[in-house]
Amino acid sequence: MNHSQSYIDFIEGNLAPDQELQFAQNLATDEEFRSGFKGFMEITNSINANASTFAPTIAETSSIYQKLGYALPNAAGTAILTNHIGKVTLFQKPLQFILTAIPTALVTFIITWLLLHNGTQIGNSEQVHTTNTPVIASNLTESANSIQNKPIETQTIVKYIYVNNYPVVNSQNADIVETTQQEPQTSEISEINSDKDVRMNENSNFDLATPDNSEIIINPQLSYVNNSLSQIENPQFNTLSERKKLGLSFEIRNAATWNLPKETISPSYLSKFSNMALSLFYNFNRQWALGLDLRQETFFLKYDSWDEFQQQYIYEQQPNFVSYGIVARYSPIVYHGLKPYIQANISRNNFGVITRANTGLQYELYPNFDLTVNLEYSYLFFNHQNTMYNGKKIGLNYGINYKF
Amino acid sequence: MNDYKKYDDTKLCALLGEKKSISNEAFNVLYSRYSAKLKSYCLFRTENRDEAEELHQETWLKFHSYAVKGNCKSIVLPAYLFVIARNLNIDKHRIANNKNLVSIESINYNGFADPLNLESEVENKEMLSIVMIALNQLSEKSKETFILRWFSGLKYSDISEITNESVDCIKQRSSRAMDEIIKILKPIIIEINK
Repeated sequence: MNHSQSYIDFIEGNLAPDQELQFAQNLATDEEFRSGFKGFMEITNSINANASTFAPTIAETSSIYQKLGYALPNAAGTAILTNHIGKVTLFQKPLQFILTAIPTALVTFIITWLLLHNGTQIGNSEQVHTTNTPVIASNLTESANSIQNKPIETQTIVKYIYVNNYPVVNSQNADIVETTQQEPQTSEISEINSDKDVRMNENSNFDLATPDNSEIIINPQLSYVNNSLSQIENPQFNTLSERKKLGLSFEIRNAATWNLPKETISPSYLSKFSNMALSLFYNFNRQWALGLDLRQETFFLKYDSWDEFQQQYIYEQQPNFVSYGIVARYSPIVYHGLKPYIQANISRNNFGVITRANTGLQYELYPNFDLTVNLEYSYLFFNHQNTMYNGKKIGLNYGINYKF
Repeated sequence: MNDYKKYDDTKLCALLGEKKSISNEAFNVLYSRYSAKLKSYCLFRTENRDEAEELHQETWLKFHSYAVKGNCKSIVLPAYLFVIARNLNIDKHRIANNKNLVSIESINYNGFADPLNLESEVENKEMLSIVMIALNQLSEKSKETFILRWFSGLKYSDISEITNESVDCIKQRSSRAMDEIIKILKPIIIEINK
């Protein structure tokens, strides 16, 4: 007998009153009808009770959303995310670090290479101005050719060598260093010529092959000239170099992070620049700097909440954020290129507010170019169903800082 | 802020062609409404877990690409989703007809209705596995109708759209399939009820 339609109609309330009475009578008197109804209820109950068994997994859902370019819904995502507890594989975390470190390393390498490449050129040009040797060598070669064709007119040999164009304290002609070849019959030193080029008046017996035994005579009016720019203490030099500075510095960092508590799930996807941060500072003075901070990061969040039916849920998720905020940095001292600092940061993202405190060290690898490393504690406040929750993590940030 | 959960399927489908933030919200609602139903159908159609996931995913992608083109007026959900899944599966099996039977152990149990009643859990799981075995005794059409009706929870009218048969025919087939399952499981049910 086909009773199932009666069972379905009864369950769905499609029976007329007299049919319902008939149904009840059948249940009471017909054993086959009754056992069939029990079987029907068993089957439908088992199917309904296990409806969630056939629900798509988070990986599947995430894959669909990712292919469509959509963001996973927060509540749905978190509820399903709990299914993936313990699925963080052994190599997932290191792999995340490696993948996110690659772009940072690449940017660091490019900036470093550009800086060092330009730095070499700058160094050479400075050397031309500050070092005697290349000036003498090049001018000797030029002058020697012209000298060879000249008749002997005088035995006096005087060399004026221009050293550099920078002004030097206590001397109007401080950029001129005078040298003379010592010969018994001609020890006369001509007047100091203000001409910037090397001038040589030599007799035709000047032998290029002979070692130059000329002696550098420093004008007594000149003070000590230091060829190393980095050690120049002259305030005029500092004024010149500082005039070019904007007081801005740019910092790019990557981070290794440890969530508190330790994460039990991994993000459904990771942003391309996860754990990467950019900061732009304005340096008020040597100690204080204020800046803007932008970073891509994840937080592991675990919290309890209730749904509309008062059923309790434990939410576990590790969402991706783009956080932007302000940062203040204080560097009390500078010691041999090392600059320890403390820093405070407050940031905002679409989930909540993050406060951070960190302490770190900056090392001046090259003028205007620093390496930086710091240890950071981050605290995220967020609201879920009118209740405040929080997430915490520790991060080790490392990167480079360039001053403009 | 709009509560898209109150929107009907046609309105939500139309919103899929809107800007990303809106279409994302609309898709969330549609996905939450039909993903579990569709997935169960995919699982029974393919009888293979991996294939079911693939079919489920392809179905949503195809549906989305169709909806964003603005062909939403002709879409009747959930029937349209199931028709896509059905056709995709038929196409796939035309190319390669290698099926692995799905076992109850291979299904990931995400939870039960009453997590406190362990005894009930075991019974439900046993009963479900028996129902699934019994399903294989049915004809292909009866099996599909049963799955769509009882596992996917579709209305007779939706099943009628999917299978392209009359509502009466589907209604009759569904109840007959249920009768057959009850008949197959009768000795077991009596045993359980003792």
